[in-house]
Amino acid sequence: MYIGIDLGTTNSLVAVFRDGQAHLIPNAHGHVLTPSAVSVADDGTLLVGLAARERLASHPQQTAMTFKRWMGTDKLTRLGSKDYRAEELSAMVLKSLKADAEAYLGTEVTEAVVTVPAYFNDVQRRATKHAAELAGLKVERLLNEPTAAGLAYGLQERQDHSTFLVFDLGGGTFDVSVLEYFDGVVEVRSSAGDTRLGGEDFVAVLETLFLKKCENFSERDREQILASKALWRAAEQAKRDLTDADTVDMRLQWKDAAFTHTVSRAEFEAASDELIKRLRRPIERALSDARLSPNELSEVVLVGGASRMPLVRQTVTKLFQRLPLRTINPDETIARGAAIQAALKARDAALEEVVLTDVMPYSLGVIISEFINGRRFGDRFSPIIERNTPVPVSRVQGYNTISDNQRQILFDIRQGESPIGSENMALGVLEIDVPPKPAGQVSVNVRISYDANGMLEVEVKDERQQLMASTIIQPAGASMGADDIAQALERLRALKQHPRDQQENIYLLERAKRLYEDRLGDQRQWLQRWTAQFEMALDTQDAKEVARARDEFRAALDSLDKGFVF
Amino acid sequence: MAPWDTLGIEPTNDIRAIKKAYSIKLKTTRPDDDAAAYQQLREAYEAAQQWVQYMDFEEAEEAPAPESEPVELPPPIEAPVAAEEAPPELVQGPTAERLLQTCAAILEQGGAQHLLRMWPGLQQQLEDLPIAAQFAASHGFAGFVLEHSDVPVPVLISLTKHFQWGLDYRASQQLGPGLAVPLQDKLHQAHVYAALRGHTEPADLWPMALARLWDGKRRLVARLLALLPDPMTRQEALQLPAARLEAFGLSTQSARAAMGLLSFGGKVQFGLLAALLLAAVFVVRGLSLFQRPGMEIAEPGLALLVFLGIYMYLYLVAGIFYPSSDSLPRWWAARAWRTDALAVIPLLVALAAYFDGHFHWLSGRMASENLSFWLLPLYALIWAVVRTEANPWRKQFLPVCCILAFGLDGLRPSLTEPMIISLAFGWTLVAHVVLSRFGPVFELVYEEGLKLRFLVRVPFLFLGIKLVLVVWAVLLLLCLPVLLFRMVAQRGALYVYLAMLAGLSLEAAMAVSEVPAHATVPVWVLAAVLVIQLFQAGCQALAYAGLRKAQKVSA
Repeated sequence: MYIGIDLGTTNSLVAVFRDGQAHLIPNAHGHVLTPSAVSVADDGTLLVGLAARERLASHPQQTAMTFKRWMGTDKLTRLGSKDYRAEELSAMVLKSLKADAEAYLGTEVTEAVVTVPAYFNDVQRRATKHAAELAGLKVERLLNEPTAAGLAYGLQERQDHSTFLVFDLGGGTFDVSVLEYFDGVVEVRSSAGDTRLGGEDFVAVLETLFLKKCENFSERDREQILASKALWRAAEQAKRDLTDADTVDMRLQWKDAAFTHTVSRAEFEAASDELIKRLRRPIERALSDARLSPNELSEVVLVGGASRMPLVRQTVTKLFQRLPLRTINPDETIARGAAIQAALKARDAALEEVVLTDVMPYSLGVIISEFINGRRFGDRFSPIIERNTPVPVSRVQGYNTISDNQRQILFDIRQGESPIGSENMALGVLEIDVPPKPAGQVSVNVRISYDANGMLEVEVKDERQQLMASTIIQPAGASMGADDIAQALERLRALKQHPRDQQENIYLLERAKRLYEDRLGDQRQWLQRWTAQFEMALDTQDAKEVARARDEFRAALDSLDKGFVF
Repeated sequence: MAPWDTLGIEPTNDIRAIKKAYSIKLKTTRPDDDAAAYQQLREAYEAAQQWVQYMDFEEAEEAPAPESEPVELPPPIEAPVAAEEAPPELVQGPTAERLLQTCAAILEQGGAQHLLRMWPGLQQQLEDLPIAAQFAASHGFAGFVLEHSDVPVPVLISLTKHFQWGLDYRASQQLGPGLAVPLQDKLHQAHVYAALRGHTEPADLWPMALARLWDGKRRLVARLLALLPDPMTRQEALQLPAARLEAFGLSTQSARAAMGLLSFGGKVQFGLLAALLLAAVFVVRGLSLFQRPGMEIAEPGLALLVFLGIYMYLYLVAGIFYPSSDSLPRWWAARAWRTDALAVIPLLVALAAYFDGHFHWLSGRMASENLSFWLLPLYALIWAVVRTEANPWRKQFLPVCCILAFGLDGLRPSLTEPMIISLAFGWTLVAHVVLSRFGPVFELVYEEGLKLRFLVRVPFLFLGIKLVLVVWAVLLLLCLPVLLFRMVAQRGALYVYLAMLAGLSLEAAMAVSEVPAHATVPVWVLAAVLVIQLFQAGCQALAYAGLRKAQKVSA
């Protein structure tokens, strides 16, 4: 059974394609959204999702969020006593999603389609694959997030022929894709994006805005507050409230004192100006690469949770000069698309008439030196596959030696758009020996192949088409080797996880704990009484009794805490 | 195979039919299954689409097109939503046309400075333009920039950034070749590209630094600083177009002042060099004077001079300071033989050393004592090796040979001129190794220093070193002829005079008395030599006077 997973920066979802439709799979709490948060308790038990997010403020040292931003880097996050890579943290979330899917479907799940931001580079994609591998999922295909949204949208509308732009502003990444749907073909025309722009950046803006208003904090306090995430929840809440309200009160509990300040929407919008400006360039680029003008688009589709913000919607309206920004449940669309892709992969009969073609969002090429007007220029980028070429693709380009009696040619394979070779991302190096001859008389052909699964292969052939060298690119450094994966598996296995049916109880207890830390006075005593009552019910081990107490406890907590769940 | 065969249809202009055919074929050629077949299908599909575009274009050409100027503005983009049903969220923003009119009005009424002051507000409006209006705006502003020669450079930069005119494909896409080419020429002229990309070069930094000091009323510092840049940088800086300097935020006035300072500094520097040359003659003479009574200690010092001289000579002439050939001056790198000619220099020196050592004309010592005899083949080897481009150790060879020479000559029992030369090369090696390792660091400190406005402190340090080296370079230029002329000193009086002219030591001057009588010399040469001889005699007299005084004091 194939499932589709949307592994998001703030929230993750899992979906399955059944009876000609994509169904979202609920987790143990009955929600379809699972926060991408992970927490490791002192005794080595692992908490994922809501319960983990509740611990964000109370146990910042043991809890991690927004780790998707560190995919493909060497950054380690310390949880309790151990350091984890972003791949391992993602694997914990994927594992929990996998468990949800298995509980829902009643069968074992081993294969999945996982979505990644379209603008993720090769290293980040590989890291995502490793994460799935660690979670025990085989991922043959990574799907671009806007493509997934477009797939879901295109098939849902089933119009005769339409060209639309998917504007995907998620928790941590921003992608724009132009897609075309005709006769069952969903074709990505172009993708562009910014992997460091998303809803979390707007939350950070609110955090700084709030701290700016608190005059009595020292610089060190501010840093500590930001690092401890004590303000995250309030800022996230404020961001949501500002969708409807003009002003919002933000409250911070810090070292036994409470601070409250009012933030207005105008202030927030002024402070987010820099972020908003960054939305424009990718849209322009995607349109120009697709050779389309905005008027030729039949629709602009907004997906991703952050696209709910009025500020973002206004900006898009202004940029496109049109209102019908079709929104189809911004949080869930990507997961649905992933499930559809999974079904396509499994050749589901309901989708026999559907084909998806995607593009590669980056240019691939090598670094060269060349003579211009008798002067030698080094470190120039020579693209072999231009960005937004449909994949799978394979392209050849010829190169000559530049010095007399040159004995070696070094191909430094890079990914990116800068004309300066070294500014692009290094993928690998291929060194070949050539016979010594005068400059320019030795020529070789370099072929770069990129298959639909994102595997990159480089081949070098001489004039007589004889293979000189070939390699499958394995970037060094920021990626995990086979040993690392084995070690990580071992480490993950050491973490205990609570049984599924207890997860709701743990979440409620953690929530009560968070509220206790957040509140003062009478409310604290009240919370303690409720907690004690619920713990007593748990001790009875009577399922009926526990269920009844749980409902009461939840209602009690809800009455105190009207905050967001997702 | 023609695209139509791959798609399985007859050639057609109907894009829908092509898409239909493509979609049918695609369902049997899924990209996941057969990558090669998919790529072929895809190429056919794209070729067919291009064909349709081309045919449409042809038809449009044939049809009588309405007359239109290439720079004319496209009609303003109308909002797709009709006015009465416009919801409150959709506010009508500025249109490209209105913005352009505003800019033109400001420029015509208030001039460039006014536009510059108003620009932040206008820029905000520019950024608020809908994407659909982007092409029209780009087109309009390109025309605006070309029409008005006085658009301030900061405005030009911000427009270029906004419309990405700097990227060839964006410019031609938005503007078409008719407008893109003249526009890019204009941008090129202003060197805005380089400024935009943040690439400043030493040549840019000098005028900027000087202008800033000049404007900051630190005129003496500016004048002194203007003496420092080396001739090549100075030349480059003087050739910078004013627009480029403006792009870095210099006003025309300050730029002009900076250029004036630079060219003035060049003249002074030249004069100073000439003066130094003259002074050097005195120094060398003085040294040989003091050497005469048996104070041979002067020789290692002389060796040091020579080494630094050689090094600076190579640095100034060939840019060997830089390890890569990319940084050789353009006029030099264009001619490969010049690099070879460089390699001849050590050979010539070795030759001189060899003959001097072998025939002991001047040193009066036995040939067997002279290990520099072996230097000739060694240097010949250097020469042979250095000139092959393909030699991977090309860069290291010169220093390696120097170290050999240094080592061999160090064994000799006493100091002679060949040894001076050898020592010089040995020191050259040390300097080369040290500087090639730390050279980039120096450069970095230098450039960063300028950027961080440690302008006055760091360059003085760096250029101070440089200045000392230049002095030694001049001395070297004197030493080489000394050696050569000594070789031929016994051939005739003329050579002796010439040798003296070049600052020969007393030793050689004494040889004058032994000159054979058969030498015949043209009158004008003798006259010229006589004048110089008188001058030198004067110098010598002064030196002798000094010496005598010293002897008297010591007695």
